[in-house]
Amino acid sequence: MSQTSRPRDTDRKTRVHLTFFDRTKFLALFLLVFFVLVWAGMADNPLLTFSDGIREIANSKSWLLVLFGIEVIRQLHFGLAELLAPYHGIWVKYFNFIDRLIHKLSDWNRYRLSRVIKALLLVALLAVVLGAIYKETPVKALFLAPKALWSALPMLGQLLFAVFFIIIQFGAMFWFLSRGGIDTYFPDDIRTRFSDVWGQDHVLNRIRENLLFLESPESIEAHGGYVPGGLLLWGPPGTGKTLMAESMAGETGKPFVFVDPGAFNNMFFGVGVLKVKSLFRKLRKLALRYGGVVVFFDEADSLGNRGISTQARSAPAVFGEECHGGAYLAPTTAELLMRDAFVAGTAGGGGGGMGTLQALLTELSGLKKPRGFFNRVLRRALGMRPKNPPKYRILVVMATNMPEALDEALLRPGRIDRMYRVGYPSKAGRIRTYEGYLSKVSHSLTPEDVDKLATITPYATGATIKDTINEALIMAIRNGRTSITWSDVIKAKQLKELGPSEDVEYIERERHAVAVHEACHGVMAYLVRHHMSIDLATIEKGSDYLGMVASIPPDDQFTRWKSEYEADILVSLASLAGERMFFSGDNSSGVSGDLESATTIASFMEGHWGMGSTVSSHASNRRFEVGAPGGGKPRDAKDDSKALRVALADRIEDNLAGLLTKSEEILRENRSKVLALAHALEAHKTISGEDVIAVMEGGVGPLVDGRPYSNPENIALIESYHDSAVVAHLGHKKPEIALPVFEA
Amino acid sequence: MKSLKAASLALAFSILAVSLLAGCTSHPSRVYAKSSKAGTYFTVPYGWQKISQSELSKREAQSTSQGASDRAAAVMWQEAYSPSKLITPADVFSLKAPSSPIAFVRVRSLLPDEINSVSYNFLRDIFVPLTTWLNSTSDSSLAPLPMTKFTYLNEFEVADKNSHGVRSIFSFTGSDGVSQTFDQSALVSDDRKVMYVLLVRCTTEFYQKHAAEISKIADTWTIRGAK
Repeated sequence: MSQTSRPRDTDRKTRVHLTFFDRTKFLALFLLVFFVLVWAGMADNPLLTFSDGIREIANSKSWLLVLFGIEVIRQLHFGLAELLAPYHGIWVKYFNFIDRLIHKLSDWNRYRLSRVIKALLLVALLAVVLGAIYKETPVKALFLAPKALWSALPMLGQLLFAVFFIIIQFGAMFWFLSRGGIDTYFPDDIRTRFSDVWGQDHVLNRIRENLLFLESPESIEAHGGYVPGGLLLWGPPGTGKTLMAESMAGETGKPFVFVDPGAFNNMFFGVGVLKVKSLFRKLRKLALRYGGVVVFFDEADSLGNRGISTQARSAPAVFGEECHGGAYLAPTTAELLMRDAFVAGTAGGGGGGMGTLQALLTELSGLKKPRGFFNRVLRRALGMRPKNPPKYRILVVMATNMPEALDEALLRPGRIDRMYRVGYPSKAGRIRTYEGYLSKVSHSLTPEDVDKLATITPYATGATIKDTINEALIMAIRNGRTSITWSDVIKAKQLKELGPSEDVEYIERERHAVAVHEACHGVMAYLVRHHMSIDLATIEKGSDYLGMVASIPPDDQFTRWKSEYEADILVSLASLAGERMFFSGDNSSGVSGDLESATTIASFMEGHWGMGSTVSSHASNRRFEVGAPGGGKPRDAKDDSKALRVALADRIEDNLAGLLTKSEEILRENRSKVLALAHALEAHKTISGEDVIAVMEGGVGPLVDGRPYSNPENIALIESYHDSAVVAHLGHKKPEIALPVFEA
Repeated sequence: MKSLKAASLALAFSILAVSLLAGCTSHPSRVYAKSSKAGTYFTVPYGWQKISQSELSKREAQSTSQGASDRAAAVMWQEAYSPSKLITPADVFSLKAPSSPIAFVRVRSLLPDEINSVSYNFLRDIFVPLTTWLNSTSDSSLAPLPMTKFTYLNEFEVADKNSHGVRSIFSFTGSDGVSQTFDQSALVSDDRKVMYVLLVRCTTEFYQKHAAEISKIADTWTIRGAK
């Protein structure tokens, strides 16, 4: 048995029946006014009889009778429409016809016209009232109005002032505080176009589609769809999200409203809500006037979260000290690990809290509210329904680099319909971007050079590329040239990645120790880490590292496998294993960063990626607070030690210990290679990946000639140098043998 | 059915209201003359036309008799009513017999020298030297004005809220040879600051036909005093 809904207005055949009060309220009002006037007349004139009074008022205030008559006719009309379906049908058709005629005017013109009409009516009403007060003609009385206002002001003003003193203060303060933070750019203020955005063509194509819908909504609405109203651009910083929004503004020819991300941080509760409301009021006005508007919320995560993060995340893995451990991981992994640390800490606080987000959500898609005093109040008083507002063409674009900080109510279709990832550009995108920025300066790079450059900068964004080219230009100028060369670009890239090298010279024994440390990393990377190639190796001290071996993935690969992660751990642990091996069990604190990254990877492998001995995901276990598999107190102290080591941390430790042993073995087998690489580093300070390969394989690299290292005599020399360095290290002295020099 | 009942009820309601008003769109029975400022009210029969204060004041300003301007300045309210449109302000102020009846009301504050000398005789003599005429009724030769056939018809003392005075009805024949009847009421406020005068005059012939109508005008005269 299905329940039927209340019939819609358009389903009815007759008009909705009014209540008795609604039918008679105006009639009663007019009668009341009439008799009040009669009574006033009789009070004024003691001779006036009741019947004569009625006659007198009927003659002098005949407009009242006219109004009464109109109301009677109106009520009869309503009554007929309620009883006779054909009559009602005729009127509905007539009103629809008038509606269609009026809607031939654009929304903006209709609004302007109605505004003018209302203003004229108000002025006319005021003139009539003043005319009655001053017993002049209405028009003349209008000119007396300022004088009247001035004379009435003292009393009126004092009254109002006394009543509204505090309210005005607060209101003014809030209004004032809620201003600002919103910039409007009109078409042709902006010169950026889609052609100025490089490397993100797949996103641009989708955005173009969205803009098409903004320009001509009929293309989709005529077929029963609706225009998608919200767009989210998310991705790492510097990939061009804001630039894309700007180019949208330039392409679309509609006004572009830029909302400053800090605008919603406020001191008092409620100011943010006011700001959201005033922003959307402004947007609606612009949308009516120009036929559409684009609003851009930059750094939307400052606005879009409800305050408390719902999930607790696992321990942070912050990088930085000593060995610059994070550089051994791909930036995507690094991001992943850093993001874990930060989400727990962002707690929206002043920006998103206190109802601002809720106000934003309602404005984006709440109920369609009829607007305007006349529309809502007057029409309802006369028994008519208020008109619904016109369709506002507002396109909301949000940009953020932390989409998980956004509230999920914001991300549902209907508010944010499309979420586009603006990620690191692909190789083709990078090439295009390099070419774009290079075309603005004078350079001597060939297309192959650009290709190679794009290959060795896999995680470059538009911002970093622009910066690199600029830095290269600065370097060229510093050297007295105005044209960029290949070496300028490479040096600029290294500068960007590693930071400027500090002008310190290590003492010999420390230099040797650092070189051995880095050589272990390098050799291990060369031997086991096949999914990445070495970019450079250096022992020049940087701001937060002593030495560095940087690697890059040669192709854009989007999945990582267990074997690859194990190789990563081996590379990280190589320094610890190597130091212990080469310095007789001693090792420096510089391995702390390496150990941290190794442990993090191992933890993820064990607990999240199913690369360990358990299957359950640690993340889920934590959320449901069920604990890791195998954890808990040992049942019996006499149990086998192996049985005890089943807790998660213990399993990680076991994994790492196993891998440490493995890396020791590998290094022991390749002892000479390590020392050779250490020698090359000490000799040349910074060498490229090709140089490393040259040393390993005995070839010739761009900087280093690797052939001497295949010669056993040279190896013996290096070994003896190493021994003396170890002795010096133990005795805190200078090594007795100097660094050997080889000729080709 | 409920809505139908309500609809019919509303209809009845409106019909009642409309008929109430429609029945009253006939003209009022009388013309109400009043001045709220002066606190004076009276009625004249429907159809009488008003001669406004501005017209009368303009005419009075042209008068050259002694003290006229002072008296004119002291006027608070004056109006005249007559059934005929042909009556002009000049006719109101002259003593010639009017072709149609004239009801003339005048409220003015008393001048300083008048305040001390106000008396019933003063009130009677406001338009014509009635006291003198009364004293010399038999001897027409002693009359200061060329007048004949003076007949004193009636006199009342009238008192209203805050005012008192005398109403005299008499007829005489003036220099134009037409006999006219005066129904004059003159009151002074109790504080002797304001004087209220109502004069209804017409030809004696008219008066004999419509005495009741003429009397009624003065009968309705009510003085409440200035607010």
